[in-house]
Amino acid sequence: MATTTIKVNGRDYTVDVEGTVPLQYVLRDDLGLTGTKFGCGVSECGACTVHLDGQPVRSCITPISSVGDKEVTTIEGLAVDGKLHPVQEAWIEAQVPQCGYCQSGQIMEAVAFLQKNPNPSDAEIREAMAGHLCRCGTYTRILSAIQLAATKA
Amino acid sequence: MTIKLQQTSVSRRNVLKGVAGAAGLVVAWSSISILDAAPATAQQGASQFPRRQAPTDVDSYLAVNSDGTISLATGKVEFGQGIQTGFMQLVAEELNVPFESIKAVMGKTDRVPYDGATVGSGSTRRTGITIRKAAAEMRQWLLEIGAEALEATVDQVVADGGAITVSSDPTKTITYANLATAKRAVRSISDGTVLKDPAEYTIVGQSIPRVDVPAKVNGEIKYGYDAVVDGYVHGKIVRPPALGAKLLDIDFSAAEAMPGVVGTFRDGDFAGLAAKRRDQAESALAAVKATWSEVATGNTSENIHDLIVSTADAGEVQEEEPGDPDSILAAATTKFEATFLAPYVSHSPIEPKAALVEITPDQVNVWTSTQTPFGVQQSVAGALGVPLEKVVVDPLMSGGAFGSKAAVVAEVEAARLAAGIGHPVRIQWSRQEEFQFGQFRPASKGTITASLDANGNLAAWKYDLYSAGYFPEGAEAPSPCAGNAGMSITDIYAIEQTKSTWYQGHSPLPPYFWRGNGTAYTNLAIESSLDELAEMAGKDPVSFRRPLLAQNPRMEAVMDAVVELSGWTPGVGSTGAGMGLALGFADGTWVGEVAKVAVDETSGQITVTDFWVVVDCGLVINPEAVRHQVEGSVVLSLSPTLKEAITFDNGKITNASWGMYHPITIADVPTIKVGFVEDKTQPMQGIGEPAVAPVPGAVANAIYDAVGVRLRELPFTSSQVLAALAAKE
Repeated sequence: MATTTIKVNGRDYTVDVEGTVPLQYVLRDDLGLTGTKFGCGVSECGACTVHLDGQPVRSCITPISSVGDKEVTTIEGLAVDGKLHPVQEAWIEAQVPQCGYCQSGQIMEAVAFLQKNPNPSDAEIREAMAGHLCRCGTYTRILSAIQLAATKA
Repeated sequence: MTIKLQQTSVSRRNVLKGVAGAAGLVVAWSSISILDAAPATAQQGASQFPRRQAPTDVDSYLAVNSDGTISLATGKVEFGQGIQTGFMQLVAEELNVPFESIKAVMGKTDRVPYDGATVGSGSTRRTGITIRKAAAEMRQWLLEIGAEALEATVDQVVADGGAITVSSDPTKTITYANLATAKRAVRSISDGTVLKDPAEYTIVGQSIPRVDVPAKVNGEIKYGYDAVVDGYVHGKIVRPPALGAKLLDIDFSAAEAMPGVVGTFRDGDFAGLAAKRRDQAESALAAVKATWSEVATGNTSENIHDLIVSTADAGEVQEEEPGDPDSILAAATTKFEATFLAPYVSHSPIEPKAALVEITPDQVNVWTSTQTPFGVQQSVAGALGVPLEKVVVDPLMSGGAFGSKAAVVAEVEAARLAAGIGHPVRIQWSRQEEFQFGQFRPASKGTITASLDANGNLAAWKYDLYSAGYFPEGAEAPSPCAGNAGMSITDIYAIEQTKSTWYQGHSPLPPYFWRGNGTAYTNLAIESSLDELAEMAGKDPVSFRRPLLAQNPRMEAVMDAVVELSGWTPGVGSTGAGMGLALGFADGTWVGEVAKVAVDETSGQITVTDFWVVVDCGLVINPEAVRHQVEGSVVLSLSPTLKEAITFDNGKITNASWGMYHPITIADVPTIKVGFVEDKTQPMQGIGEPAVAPVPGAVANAIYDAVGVRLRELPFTSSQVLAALAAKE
């Protein structure tokens, strides 16, 4: 095991784990930040998506040793001083979630996508979000929510 | 108060045989473990417990609190389908209190009344009725005790705004809280319970935002996969390489020496280990040396339909009084026949199975994602041999279920491992385990044979359906999985000479309930065949169905409504775009669906561009929540329609990952529009599943409308399209 310090949602955390341990396990089990979910462990569903320096990554295939100085942002870190991110607000307004399990990953991807593409077409949203599985079938509302968030930005 | 049993690092084997005094085991308090005190043994299992029923008394469900809020307790669980909000609306409406004043507790077995599993689209149409009546009875009780307190008669007072008030003198008023805090109504619901007139509704019928949504956008809500408790460890079960393999030999020695491992356990074919960290448990699992028997049945997904047919039972006729279609078919000059195939399909909830079990001297605590908290209580109590009431289940939010979490699996694994190694154990399935060791919507093969009379009306109808059934060793009948759901054409259409027979063949993979169960493939067979018969009769799909709906005005109204909503304009052939209709009935709800597809004749690619759905589910509590369930049903059902099929070989699932199994993504979803036909005086019906069924039939009929070929094998692939187009020439 090795001692590593990572910065998550603006705070420093020091953990003593093997370098190969996925960031996802550290976030969930060591730091208690369970908002980031396990769906497949092999980057095939998107449920584990977090940001590293604002870029979306799959935490299930991100070894803790590769995080370094990069800033990790999880779903818990999106709201600022208790104020929800506009994407989160759009998600509530469009009543997107059903079971909710995939939604952290969906939201994290959507936030990063809208930062790059603030005025996306329907086709661009579909392409950007195609790697995020939702079994409850909330896809049509994800489309609406992202369009809604884009218009409000 | 629970007393923690102190443990040493010695693994506690044979706990159930009462060896609490084994060397090295230190008991911190004088009470022995609940496991050691129990009279029953694990072998008796869950069946030793008496059948339970949901109570009908008001006090089991509702209580008035001193702060004016109303507590609602129910054994059903919310997992995103909206029943928490819906039930709150029912109670607030009947009691004339603000929606926000209702506090709901769901599924925690030590705090709510017993109820059956949250399955079968049954929550609103069964428990919802109980809760609605309980609230109405509570209102009546409050009127009675309020009138007494105000020295008036019952007809002189009204219940509104959380208070009982004399109509003619509003100064004479007393709040529910002052009247009824800590009091019991001591009354039950009945057939005579007087419900509020829907014409007076101000809360039921409103699209109140769902109360479970806010915590689902900020990472706050907890699922079974997230559960923690002091001292818990991560458990892994040693799995066979294929279904049906028996554990011959196991060597834990290398695993036991690995970092973080706290215990190993074996009992027959059940073997597992636990470690302090998940990654340590996974590494240790890889170091376990287990020898399993070989599975060489020769059963694969290639020969599954032949297998089901060749091992079929004697069959069960579905009609109480079947007609005699055989005679008519024998005499018919033109016969119609079509065979439909469906593979096994995986539930694939995004959250794999998970459970955390903690065994204390007083009780067993279970945290899990489940559709059946009381079922979990029963199975865990049976597995551990402890009294039922000593198992306390706290169902956290479930990350997708669709039937898979109505089975009690991870909870029993966690319980057995926790008992075996003496630590609270959290079991978290991997995605690969979900594919390999989950249960499936059954594979099926069904044949429709039918004929028309001289006027082009449906004269005779036979449906022989073979579906995969699971026959546990020693069982007389297969385990229920509703593989025949929706197969009776007479559920919807008026036709006399029908005979529908359901055969179950021996299934190499365990079939189970899967949202909508058999309805998707039975509806495909029925609705595709009706379209084909319509064409034979020279009629369009709507005109052909109408006389068959003469005794079913509700279905006819839904059909007309979806025709209107969709702007029904079938293209009749070669434009590459087409529309298709399918009607369905399930769980008390009538559904009409129209699909619009585009089919590329060069690549065979099928694109579903639009879906329109109209439902008649009786009184609607929350229209937006209902729309959401319909959208979700359509999206989910499109996945097995176009993309999903489990492949397997001698007990091994060969496409056990989402990379190979590829469920539908946002790239493929159509625009979905939902409409209602609603009579508010009709009882509330189910909505979790009914919109699943007509999806493949609507798509199949739309494909025919687009390019003139009939697809009958799920999933509809581009190669099937191309093969059918080639065969047409």
